[in-house]
This record gives sequence, C-alpha cells and structure tokens, in this order.
Amino acid sequence: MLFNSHIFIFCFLPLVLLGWWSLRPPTARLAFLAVASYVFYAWWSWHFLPLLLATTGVDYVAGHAIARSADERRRRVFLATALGINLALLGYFKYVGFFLHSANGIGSLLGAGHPFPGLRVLLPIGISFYTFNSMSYTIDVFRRRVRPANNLLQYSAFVAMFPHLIAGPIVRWADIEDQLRRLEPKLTAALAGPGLFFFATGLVKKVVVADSLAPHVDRLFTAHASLGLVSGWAAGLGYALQLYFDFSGYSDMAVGLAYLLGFRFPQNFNSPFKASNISDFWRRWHMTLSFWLRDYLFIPLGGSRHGRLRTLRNLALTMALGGLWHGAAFTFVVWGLLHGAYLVVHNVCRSAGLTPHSIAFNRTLTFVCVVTAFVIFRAPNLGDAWDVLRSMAGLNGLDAGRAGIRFLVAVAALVAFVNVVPNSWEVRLRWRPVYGLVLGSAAATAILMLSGPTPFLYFRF
Amino acid sequence: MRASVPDLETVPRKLDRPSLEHASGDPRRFVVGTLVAAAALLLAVLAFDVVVDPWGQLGTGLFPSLIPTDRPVKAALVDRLTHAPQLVIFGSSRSLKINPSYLQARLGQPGFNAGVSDGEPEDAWAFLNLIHSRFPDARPHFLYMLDVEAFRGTPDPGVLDTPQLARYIPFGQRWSARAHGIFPLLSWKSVRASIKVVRKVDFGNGIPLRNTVFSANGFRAVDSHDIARARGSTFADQLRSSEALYSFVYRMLYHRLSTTQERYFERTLAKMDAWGEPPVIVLTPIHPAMRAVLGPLGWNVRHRQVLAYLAALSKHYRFTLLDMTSLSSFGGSPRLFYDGFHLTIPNMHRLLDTLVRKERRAL
Repeated sequence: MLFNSHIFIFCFLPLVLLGWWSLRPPTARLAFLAVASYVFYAWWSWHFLPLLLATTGVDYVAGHAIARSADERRRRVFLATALGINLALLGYFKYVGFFLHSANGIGSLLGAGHPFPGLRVLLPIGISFYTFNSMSYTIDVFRRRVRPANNLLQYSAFVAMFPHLIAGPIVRWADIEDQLRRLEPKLTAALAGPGLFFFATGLVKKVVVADSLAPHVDRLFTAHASLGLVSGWAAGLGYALQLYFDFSGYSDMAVGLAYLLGFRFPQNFNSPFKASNISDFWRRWHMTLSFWLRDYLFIPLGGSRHGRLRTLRNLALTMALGGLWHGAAFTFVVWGLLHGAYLVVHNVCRSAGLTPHSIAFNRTLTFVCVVTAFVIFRAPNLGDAWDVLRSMAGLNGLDAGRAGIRFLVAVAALVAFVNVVPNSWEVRLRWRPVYGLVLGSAAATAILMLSGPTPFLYFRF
Repeated sequence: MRASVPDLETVPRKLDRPSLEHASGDPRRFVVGTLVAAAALLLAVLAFDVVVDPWGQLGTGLFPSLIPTDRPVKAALVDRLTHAPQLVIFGSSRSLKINPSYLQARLGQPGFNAGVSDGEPEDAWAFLNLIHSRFPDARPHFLYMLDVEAFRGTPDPGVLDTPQLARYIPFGQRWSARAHGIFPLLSWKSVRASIKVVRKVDFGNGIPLRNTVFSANGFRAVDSHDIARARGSTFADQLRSSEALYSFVYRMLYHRLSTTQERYFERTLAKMDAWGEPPVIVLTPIHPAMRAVLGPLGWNVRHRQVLAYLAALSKHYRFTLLDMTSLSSFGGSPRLFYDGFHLTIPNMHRLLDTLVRKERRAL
C-alpha cells in the first residue's frame, strides 16, 4: 500500500488511528499496530510476509540470547548467526541474480560461456530497510547499548511499524524503545498538529513536485544519446530534485504518521543541497542510512582511528557498500565509489588546508558533484550515464530546446527553493487556524492530483 | 526488562525534535483548520463529480457520460436481429472492424459482431447470455478476439449502465464496480471532465455522440479512428497517444491477471461449449513499435501469462487458440494500423483470410 493512495488516506489510516487510540491495554495496542502493519505490507504481496516475520523472529531470539549470556564467545556466536541469517536473506533476494549475471558476464569474456544458470528473484519490498532496522537491534544489544525488547509483540511492532517499514527512515531500537515501553495515552493536538503538518507537507512534496518532474526527467533520460549541455543539465538537476522531493516527501509523511500514532522518528533529510562539502552532504542526505553506515560499518572497520590510509580505505569501502545497498547494479556501485572518492579527496584536501574558503563556492561545488553522481544513480546502465555526463560536459552541443522552457524555469525555481527555504524540520510557525486552512487546502490539492499509484523511488531499494 | 543483564551500558539516543514542537499558540485550532479545509475542498469536488458523473462510473444518469458507450447500441441491435446469427464475434474495439458479411462471403453463414469498445470478459458473458436468451435453440459458432489486456481489472461501467446486460452481472460485483468508480472522481481530472460535460451539454439532447456508425450486423463501419484520420491525424499521432495510454496501464494497473475476469471468461467458455460450437480464440495483434514499448513494461510477461492460462484451460474446455499477436502469424502489415492495436480493414482482412484458411471447420 502506498502512502499516496486513496485506499491508504481514506480507509487504512483512519481505521488504524481509530483502533490504535481506542484500545487501552498496551499489549492490545501493540498487537493491533503489528497486525495493521502486516496488512499494510501484505497489501503489496502477502508472499513475502513470512520473510519479514522470520527476520523479526531471528533478531528477537538472538537479542535475548545475547542479553542473557555472560560468555563473550557465546554472545559472538549468537550475533554472528543472526547477522549471517539476515545478510543471507538480503543477499539472496537482492544480490544473487546480480552476482550470477556478473559471473556469467565474466565467464563469457573469458570464453567460458555462462557457467551459472540465470536467476530472477523478485525483490521483497522494503527488505533493505527492515533488515537494517532489525540488525541494528541485535548489534546494539550485543554492544550493551540497549536493553532487549520486553516481548516479541513489542519487537514485532518496532520492526513492522508501517510508517517506516517500506522505505525508512531507518529507525533503530534505541530511537524508539522508550516510546514503545511508554505509549502515548491519547492523541493530543500537540501530536496531531506536527503529524498533519509533516504528512501534508510530504504529500505535497511527493505528488505536486516530484511526480510533476518525473515525466520530464524520464523523457530526457530516455533521449540520453541526443542530449546537449542544457538538456543534459536539465536531466541531472531535474532528477536530483525529483529524488529529493520524492524521498524527503516520503520521510516527512513517515514522520507525520509516526506523530499521529504518538511516536517520534529521527530526521532523515536536513536541506542536503545546502551542504558546504561532501561530508556535510552525507550528514544531511538520508541521514538515518549515513549514520547507520557510520556506526555499524565505518567505525567497526576502524573508522578514522588507524591512520590516514586506513581512514581513506574505510571511507571508500563504506560508500561502495552503501552504494550497493541501494541496488544490485553496477550503477549503484559506481555511484557509491564516486562518493567514496569525493570523501577521500575532501579528507585529503581538508588535512592539507586546501579547501576553499568561499561558502558559496563550496556549496556550488558540492551541489555539482552530487548532481553529477546522481546521473549515474538514475541511469539504467553506465553507458547511458556516460552519454548524459558527456552532454553535461558540453561535448554534444547546446541543445537548448529539448528540455522545454517551462521545465527549465521550474528546475531553476526549485534549485533556488532548496537552497533558500527552511526544510520541514526547521519551519517555525505559530499554530494559527489560517495556516491550517492553507495546509489543508494544499493537502487536498495533492490528493486531487493522485491520478494513479506512483510508487516512491526508494521503494525499489 | 531483565535485571540480570550484566554491564549494561545503555546510551539513550537523543532524537532531534522539529522546530514545530516549540511553536507557540494552540495547535487545536490549527488541526481543526487543516482538517476542515481539506475535507471541504474534497467534499465539494466529490459532490460535483458524483452529480455530473463524467465517466458514467456511478450511473447517476443526471448528465450524459463523456464517454459514450456502444453497449446500448449493440444490445439494441441484438434485439432487432430477426434470425439467429450462425457466427458470433466477441471482443473489444480491436474486433469492431470485423465485418460479419466479409466472413459470410467466405463461410456462408450470417454472423453478428458483439464486440464493444473496451470489451472485457464481463461484456462477452453478458452478450452471450443476451443472444442466448433471444435464440436459445440456435447452435452458433464463436470467434473470440481476446486482447492480452482483457484481464486487467474491473468491468467497463458501460456494461452496468445497459439494463439488458447488467442483469447478467451479480449485484455484488455491480456494487463493487460502482464503488471502484468513487475514488477516480476525487481528482482534478474528473473536475475538468465534469466541467466539460456541463458546458457541452445541450439540455434535452445530451452530448452529441461521436460519429460512430454501426451496421445491423454489429460491424462498426465508421468510428473515431476514421474521423481522426479524415481530420489529418497521422498514424504516428495515434501510436503516440495509444503508447501513452497503455504505458500507464502496464506501469500502474495491469500487474496480474484479474481472477474475477478469469472466472467470467471461464463461465463464458463453459456456456459456449454447452450452447454452441467450441469457440475459436484469437489473441489480437499488436504493432511492433507498440510491442517494443510495452514489452519491457509488462506486456511480454502478461502475454506469456495469458498463453499459460489458456493452455491450462484447454484441459477443461474445448476451444481452438490462435496467437496472432505477431504480424507474421497472418502476414499483417505494420503500415495498416490505426494506432498501436487497431487494424485497418485491409489488415483485418488479412487476419480473417488466414483465420478462415486455418480454422474453416471450427468457424
């Protein structure tokens, strides 16, 4: 089920809110939330529900086994087993087809034919997100950073909670355990106000902005071979903006839904295009994934504690795996490696005192680097990405007409918007009815623009 | 919580709070303002669209539908038949250029084309019953021009709005199909359509129907494709338009074969088997350019699924299947299409000639 669908907005959400706030015993409420979330997930395909239940069960059992044991060796075995199962499931459903296909490609190049059978595995929606949610719990219990869940119901509600289940934010047990242990007793205006604000803002970002950009961006990327300087940049900038408004819109809706259920979620976007360097960008873009990679990958690899070279290697490796997390394709790996390279260069320049002092220059440079990398992220293959990048470099002429003047004006206006206007977490306003009227009208306008289901871009990751 | 957990180093993560949590004023009035504004705008739009019902989805009938359906015309033509047709043709608009007279000249038996625009399994089922009720003693042959898109969802509202046909659709499904029509009315697109209806309507005469001309045997001699051509619209224009429409269908709507429509299809086969001769089922052609666009979007997969489904049905029902999706199967020309799916009459004649040559006995 999509947040931006009639069935969700007019049926599922009102029923869930009614049930959740009507029930009194915490156990009944958590059971209701878990079941509702499973229905939400199964609406897409019930076939993958057992996978979600298995991940939940494995990490819950492992968490308790780790917490109960004082023997360090046994604790490590439990942790390794849980992580192994999680990664095996993620690896099979997300990557096995890609690796076999790649191995066959290499085999073909070496004249060995196709040594492996082709395999097409349907990707269970949200698997990357809920696996990371669940793995962070087991690791944090192992690190003695959190207490294990009181019971399976509580943990199931955490993993399956529908606002973050499909596409994040990646909520950790540490973020929400206290909230799950002390559920809000009633829906107050102090919760409903931010809840409606975030949900409506996210809906407008997704439906009005991202979905309006999408057909133009698709058209330009389809014509990758014949783009010029202007149309190439229109494609790159258009996609960067589409992705931002799409994913940050989804995150805002998730935060809003969490508020309506009495929960607080972590921030996922903090005006990423205002970043003054690439490191700053990653503290602002998909923050919950960046911090997850930092805490569970970069730091365990040694972080920046073992000298310059090890730090740079860790940065590159973390970003490459971060790229691969997004999808089983070389475009994502190259995108991750490129960001790794950006971070390495930035790290070296900063240490050598070579970073420019002009904030405007730094922001522009960061923005250009990010947009360039997003071209690789968006393109269906590296060849198409190369075509668009060549056009952005001016190697294919100007081609001013293809993008359309209205699209160019819209892109320019949105670039200015994301660089100037405060983001949804920074907005300061007085609770005035007139703002409510404006927001309600904007939300209704967005709902009236829902002509068909348009999945969020991050669903496929 | 377990008190026995040793050396617990719980480090609570402090979540940043949005600035909005520190906003001054009473959030209750903001919440009420938001909900009232959203509800008022949505209800106003819904009320207007329900009254006008521009697509004829709800059957309110106060205004004429913007999409005139050919089902009442076809049902009336069935009522006017004086003799039982010996060959009945079912299908969608892609079958409407089949002239039963052309087949009669080759097979020697009079026929009736019961295909309708956007024809789906429910339509075939309803028309089969309607014709059977008129001529229960006949034993006709059947030609079913089946589209790969035939199993894409809910029935066309036209079948529910035509009383002679709606009685063959169970009440529950009629209600469910109407309910499905509510949400699409909650859109700017519907508002624009409703305004168009209200502005165009000549109260008393309704909206002038498109110049669609049917022969008494159900053949659609002139339709919107012919008129568009006469007005200068090219094949490329029509192809682009149909590509956009069906790209949307495959991307957004048609992800699996509808089990409800499969049931209607099977009931239709069973009734054909019981009443007449086993039908000849033809999978309708697709233009190669259209196939190139729709193939990766799901057409290829749905095509395989439809073939597999029909193969499974062949164990239980008697019918002959011809997959004519590819032009090479009947020597069709890519230049003789109106758009991505609709054959011009010369191309349709090539298809029918091949069909007669291969399945003369079954027809």
